[in-house]
Amino acid sequence: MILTLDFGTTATKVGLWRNEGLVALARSELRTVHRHPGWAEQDPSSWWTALVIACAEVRAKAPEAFREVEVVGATGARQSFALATGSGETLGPAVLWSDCRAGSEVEPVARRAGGLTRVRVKTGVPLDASSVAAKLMWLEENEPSRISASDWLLSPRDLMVWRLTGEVATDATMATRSGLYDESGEPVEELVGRELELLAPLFPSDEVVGRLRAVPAAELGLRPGTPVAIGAGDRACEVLGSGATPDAPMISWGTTANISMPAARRRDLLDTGAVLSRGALQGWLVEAGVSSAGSFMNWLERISNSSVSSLVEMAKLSPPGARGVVAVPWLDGARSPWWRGDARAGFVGLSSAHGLGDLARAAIESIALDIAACLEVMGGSTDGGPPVRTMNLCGAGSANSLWRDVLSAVTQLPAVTRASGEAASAGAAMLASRSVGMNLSIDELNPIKSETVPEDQSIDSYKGICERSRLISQTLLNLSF
Amino acid sequence: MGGVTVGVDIGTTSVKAIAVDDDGNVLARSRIPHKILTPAADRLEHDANAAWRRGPRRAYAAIKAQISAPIAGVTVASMVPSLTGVDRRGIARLPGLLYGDARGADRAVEATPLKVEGSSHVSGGMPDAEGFLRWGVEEFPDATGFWTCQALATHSLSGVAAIDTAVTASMGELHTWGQWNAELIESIGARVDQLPEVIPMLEAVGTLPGSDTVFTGGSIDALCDQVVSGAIEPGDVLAIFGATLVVWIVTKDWIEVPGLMTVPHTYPDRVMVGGPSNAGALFVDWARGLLRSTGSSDVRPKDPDRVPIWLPYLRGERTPFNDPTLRASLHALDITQGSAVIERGAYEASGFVIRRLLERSGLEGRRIVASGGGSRSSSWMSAVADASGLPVNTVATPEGGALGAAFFARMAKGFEGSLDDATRWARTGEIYEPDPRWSTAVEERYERFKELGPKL
Repeated sequence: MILTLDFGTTATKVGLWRNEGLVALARSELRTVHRHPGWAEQDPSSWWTALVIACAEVRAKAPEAFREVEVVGATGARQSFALATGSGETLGPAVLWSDCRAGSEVEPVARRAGGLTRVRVKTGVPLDASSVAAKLMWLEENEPSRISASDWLLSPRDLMVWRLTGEVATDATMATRSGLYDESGEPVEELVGRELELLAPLFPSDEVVGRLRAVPAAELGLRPGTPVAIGAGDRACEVLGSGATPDAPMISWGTTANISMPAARRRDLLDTGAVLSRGALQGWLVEAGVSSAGSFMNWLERISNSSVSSLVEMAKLSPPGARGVVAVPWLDGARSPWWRGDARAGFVGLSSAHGLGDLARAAIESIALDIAACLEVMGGSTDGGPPVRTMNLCGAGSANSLWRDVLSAVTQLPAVTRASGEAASAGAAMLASRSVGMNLSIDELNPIKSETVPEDQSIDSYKGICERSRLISQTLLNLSF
Repeated sequence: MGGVTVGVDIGTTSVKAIAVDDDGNVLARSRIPHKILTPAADRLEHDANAAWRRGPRRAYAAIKAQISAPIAGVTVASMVPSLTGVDRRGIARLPGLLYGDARGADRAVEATPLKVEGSSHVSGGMPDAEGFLRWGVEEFPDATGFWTCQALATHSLSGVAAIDTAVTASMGELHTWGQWNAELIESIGARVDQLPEVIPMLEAVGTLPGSDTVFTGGSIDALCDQVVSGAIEPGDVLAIFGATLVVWIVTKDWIEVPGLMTVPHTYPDRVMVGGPSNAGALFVDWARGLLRSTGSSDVRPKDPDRVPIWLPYLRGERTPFNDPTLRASLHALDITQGSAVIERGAYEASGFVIRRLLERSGLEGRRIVASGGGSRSSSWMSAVADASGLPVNTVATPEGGALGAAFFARMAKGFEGSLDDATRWARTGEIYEPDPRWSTAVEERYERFKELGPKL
């Protein structure tokens, strides 16, 4: 029996897994504070509280299985960090990945490190207002005493593993995605600056880094001495948990959509805007963020005073092509593969005969179209990587049959979903199982549930629709200013 | 001379009627709503019996029930063009086609803009009427009559299907040189006797059965609205915010502007340049419906920079593009926006349409005189003021079409000697000034509005 702890941004999730799949799952929500526009912070002590609550719920759901936990595996958000003293006391609020307070620090950090492109090539991660390096400079300038009192700079997962085991540790997936490490896995001094000594030591993602101490074990209701595997960053775990391979990327539907895939070698995808970091088991992780997914539907829900579920039902009644309505999903700027921060979302082709269902369908189609455009550039045509042959869906949207149908018709690829959409936890369970020699495969932990194969007829009907939509997207990008 | 007259206005979504005294004070009002049917994007129709026959009769009956004084006269006004086919009892056997329905446009032979100085001919006239007749002949060859909505309504009140010369002036080549164009009508397959009786504008046809109430040929809503709006100074922009937005810029000299219509003003030495646009309540109500809005939001949202841009061509656009294939679109959407700013964007779009018509005309606007149901919405009118950069004066009686029709009835009865006197009924309701804090943001949006449209 494996217990997984996922220290996410909106919630902490605890999962109980065995070799036939997920036994129980519980989540406890976290509060994010925005003290100033663009800031995003959390109270690090809330991570522990949320963990205790979620653990208690899982224990209540499956008390017998919970008693049999043999190993604990962890995962969590990347690029978010807390500062802590040597005794484990945190200093101030944690700064989340979505915090972009450090806009004016980007340029001086880039200058120090040889320019934006060099940073990108060296680290695989773009340097921008949300980068850890820029935020470190911001802290040095604005809260120097907080930095100087710190002994550790830790991700939420690493802080919690420390509390569980007494060991300070991280892994290469978490570390390299911070943008502070180079391709060989060494910290880049020009980016980290004086904070080099605050970085946690690196361990393999499938290694036990310590055992549960008595006090935290008692708080969580687990056996003291249970081994704890460090695991990997949430995206790296998702890729494992969704069964993604170099030619079968993971497509996740969250607030935004994301395409991620493992790669045996460090691919040259600089022009596509894809981000590179270390993979959990070997090689590299390639990921590209698409503009919006859940956020577009939530926005439509908000402006129309309806609900996402009713919007999806209405969208199903609208035919492919949304009766001529075309959307672009760039509510927060156009990300992969366009990278145009100034572009914004829109709808065209509206007539009085159209209603909300057509807009909702156009929104879903627009997200699928951006993913198809991404797959074209990531699927090997640019740098000789393998062509994409199937897609592994995860995230909330994978439960939506309309999303699966539209995406597979637009991309002309089959779409696979697994028993649990909790791909990050599944991946953490897989790594934990390896750390104690159980070596469970992802097909055992999270078996395939469905495969959507695009029908020739829908592929044909979407061909013209895609062409028209691309033309409109391009026209709108040319008009953005 | 004094007496009560009634104006009846068949609009896109309701029939409105008012009874007024000598000074234009409203003594009674009624409103009978009807459905607008849009089975497809390029169609716009009424159930002609509900909206054109029963609606006016009920609205008139509701007025009669409210007042004890005798009614001296009545005029029916409505939009142009429209058409249906009727049987020998005057019952419609076809749907009532309205302006912009493609079943007219498809069959219309490219109309030659025709202008005869001093006549009531319209420059840049609408081709739909002829197309509508072709459609009617195909659909119902045995019709007793092919009537406009004014004719059906007048028939329902009086037993006579009559329209005035203002309506015929909007029917392009079908009615030329003061009479029905028999050659053209016969070439279409219809007969002149199938068309309504034509009565000179402002003249009485007869009296309603069993009463002394005179009635006139049915007239044009926008024309009636215009005579009582008080928009008579050069630079006045009359904007009627009905289902359709009708914009007329008042000027002294006859000018021809590509895409715009030029018509004589009823006031001496004035002409009007402009025309109808689809950026009226049909568009705004659709957007509100999408947002499930009641239209009761604050006058202005907080942040002038966060408003999206609408191109309001849900049903194509009439003036100045005359392109039924255009479609609406919504741009510059971001994650922070709520429904209030998207609604505000819809209001601004109608203001941008007015501003672009003004720019195209080369004339300088001094103020917007707003009438029609939309003029009662303070959020809409303040957005129009901001978007156009002009103050908006709303008329005190928003049922401008019905009010002007009631004045037409006074003329027919002989209570009034000159249409110019109708300006004494013009009263300002509210005044909305452009908000200087919004001007920079609105200016940028207007530039983007022009850059985006119309063809997106």
